[in-house]
Amino acid sequence: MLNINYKARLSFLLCLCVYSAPSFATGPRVAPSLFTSNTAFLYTSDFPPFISNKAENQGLLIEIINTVLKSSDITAEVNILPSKNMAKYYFSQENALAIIGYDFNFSKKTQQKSIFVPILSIDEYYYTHASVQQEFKWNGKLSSFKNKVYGTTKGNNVEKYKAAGIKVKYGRLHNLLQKMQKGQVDFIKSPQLTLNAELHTDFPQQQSAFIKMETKAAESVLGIAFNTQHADGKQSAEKFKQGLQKIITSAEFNSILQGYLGSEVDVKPYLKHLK
Amino acid sequence: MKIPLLLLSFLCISCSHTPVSNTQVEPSTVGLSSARLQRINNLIDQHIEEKKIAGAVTLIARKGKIAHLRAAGLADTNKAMKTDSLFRIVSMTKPITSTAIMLLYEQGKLLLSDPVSKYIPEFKHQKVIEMLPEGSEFPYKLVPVKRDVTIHDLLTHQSGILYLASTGWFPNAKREQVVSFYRDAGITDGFCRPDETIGDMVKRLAKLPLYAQPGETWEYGLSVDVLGYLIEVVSGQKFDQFVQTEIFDPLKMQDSHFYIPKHKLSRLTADWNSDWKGSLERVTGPLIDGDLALCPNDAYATSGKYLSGGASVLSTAYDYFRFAQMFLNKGELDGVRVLSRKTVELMTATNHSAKHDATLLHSHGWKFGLGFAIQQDRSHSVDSGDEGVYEWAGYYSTRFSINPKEETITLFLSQTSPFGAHFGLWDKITALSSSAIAD
Repeated sequence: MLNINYKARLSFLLCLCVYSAPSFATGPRVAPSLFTSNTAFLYTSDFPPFISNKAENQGLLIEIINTVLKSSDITAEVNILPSKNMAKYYFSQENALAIIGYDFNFSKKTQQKSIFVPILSIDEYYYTHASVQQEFKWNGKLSSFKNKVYGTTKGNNVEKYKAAGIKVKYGRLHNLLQKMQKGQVDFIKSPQLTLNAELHTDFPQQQSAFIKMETKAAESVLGIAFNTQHADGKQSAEKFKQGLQKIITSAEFNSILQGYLGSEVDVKPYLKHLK
Repeated sequence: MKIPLLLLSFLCISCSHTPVSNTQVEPSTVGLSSARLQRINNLIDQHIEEKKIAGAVTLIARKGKIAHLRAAGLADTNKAMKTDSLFRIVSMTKPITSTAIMLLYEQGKLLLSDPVSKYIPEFKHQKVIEMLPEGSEFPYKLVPVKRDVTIHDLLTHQSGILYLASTGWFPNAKREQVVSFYRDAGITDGFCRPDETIGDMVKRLAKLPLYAQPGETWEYGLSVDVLGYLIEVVSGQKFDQFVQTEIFDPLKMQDSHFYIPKHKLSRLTADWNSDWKGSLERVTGPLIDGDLALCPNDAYATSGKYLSGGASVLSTAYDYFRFAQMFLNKGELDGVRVLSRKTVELMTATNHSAKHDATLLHSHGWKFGLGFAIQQDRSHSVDSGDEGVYEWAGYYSTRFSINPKEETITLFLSQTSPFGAHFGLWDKITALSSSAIAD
């Protein structure tokens, strides 16, 4: 009896040693990152006030998208990257669920596997610096900017500018405005809201030095492109379209827009694409 | 009974390090040869005469005393160099930032093994670039990090974070691809002072791909700039304020600044472009060479947002000597303890980057500690120094070297571009400084 009790105690102690050994080991610690989640990612790049890590709810466009995602029961997380090309990489090479923004400049192959859902219409204008304003005669044709230097974000389509004999320099909006001040870039294209946000934050004393050319440069549409190569791509695109329609009809869309742009703002121009 | 105790205390204080001052001592009192130190004067004067450099301040100290402090040549057009001239010490900021991190480590506020993402969430889920074979449909892929970047990785430049300028130093397709992302994201090396906070830059940098898996490479880069922001997050103070109160004030480094006070502007040395063959021109604008962008005139700004942990500090020879002497004294200066002896030993250990040599300033034989390169063996191209000598440099041709065995500090401050041209001169200065030891 005593012997059995001793063996049982010994076995218990041995088991205790064996099972508790890993907790004394000095190997890699268990990190939360070892557990993967099933959340799908939507990639985009900074484009204030529409898309911004610094803005409340990540900006106007992202708030609309998150509202639609929630109402459509799509589990996805928006990841704002500092490089548009990185966002495009995740979409085209890693089959991310979707990419958000505009002017994706996709290859034909990538374009074919995407379903674009338009969300917001925006008018874009060309801007120049007061010091070279007189040299610009914008008549709606890019040929009038021949030999000038156009500043834009890497990843945007610049073929038509190059074809018109315009030189292209790349940078973030902040850097492009600095380059315009230094005379290294002659003009840029931007929605008025985006430029005003940047000037207000980072160039408060020089706002009047950046001149808008009154004739509209382009009508663009911000939206979300779903990836048909993603397992949920087609289904999510369909659910998103329906969800977007719902919030437009319910006036929730207007409410978000007015939250950012002021209650007096006319929302119709932002929905031009619906026509 | 009280009087002998007081006397004993006084004697004890006297026995420890005597206060450091900028007064020069007779070299022989600290075991240095005056005649041999004169050779340094001759060497510098020769370089000035040959218009290789416009001017310089050199400082040799031993056993806590300055035996040689000399200004020669021009600080600016028609302005003589002075021993209290102010210099852009650029990357000699890095040991200061590393010291600031170690202060937080000593306060128990962080561990070197902590993932950076613990304090800056943007560092979670980082990716590493891998180039795909030539002819692949797409040139690269991004793979998850095997483990998070740690504070230790940042201190030892093993994070995989690059400098944009490295495309010029060690060109290859992978580096070019990472740097192209840096360019897209508006990341700069911090040698020009961008109009944004260091936190804004670091948060963007964190979302860009790493050049290599953390711990698997030695790549000199923006890692110490990340540490500057980390100090803000952990301490709750602006980076420059923390350095001021925790390092500059206790060490009485009265002429060290992130942004120069207006009344000291006249002491700031100009930068000179030298072809090292007799053509020497004062730099008036930015120096752009591929991805390397230097803005020496940004140093004239008396205020600004950007506080680079890797490049922003302006200082004098005497101030930097005080900083170096604190290390030589194993963490204290003039009775003020900044770091513990064990922390200084940790910072100057050569086994932090076992697989990798710090091959930027020298070839092999140097290891990177926590803020310095440390001479580990003689299988390298430098002619002087002992095992355990530690040093670093600044991009406008500034250098310092600390030799714990011989208790010497050697400093050379000039403002000469391009950077690499002065390497031979520096090697000669350290050889002359070393051969001036006469005991």
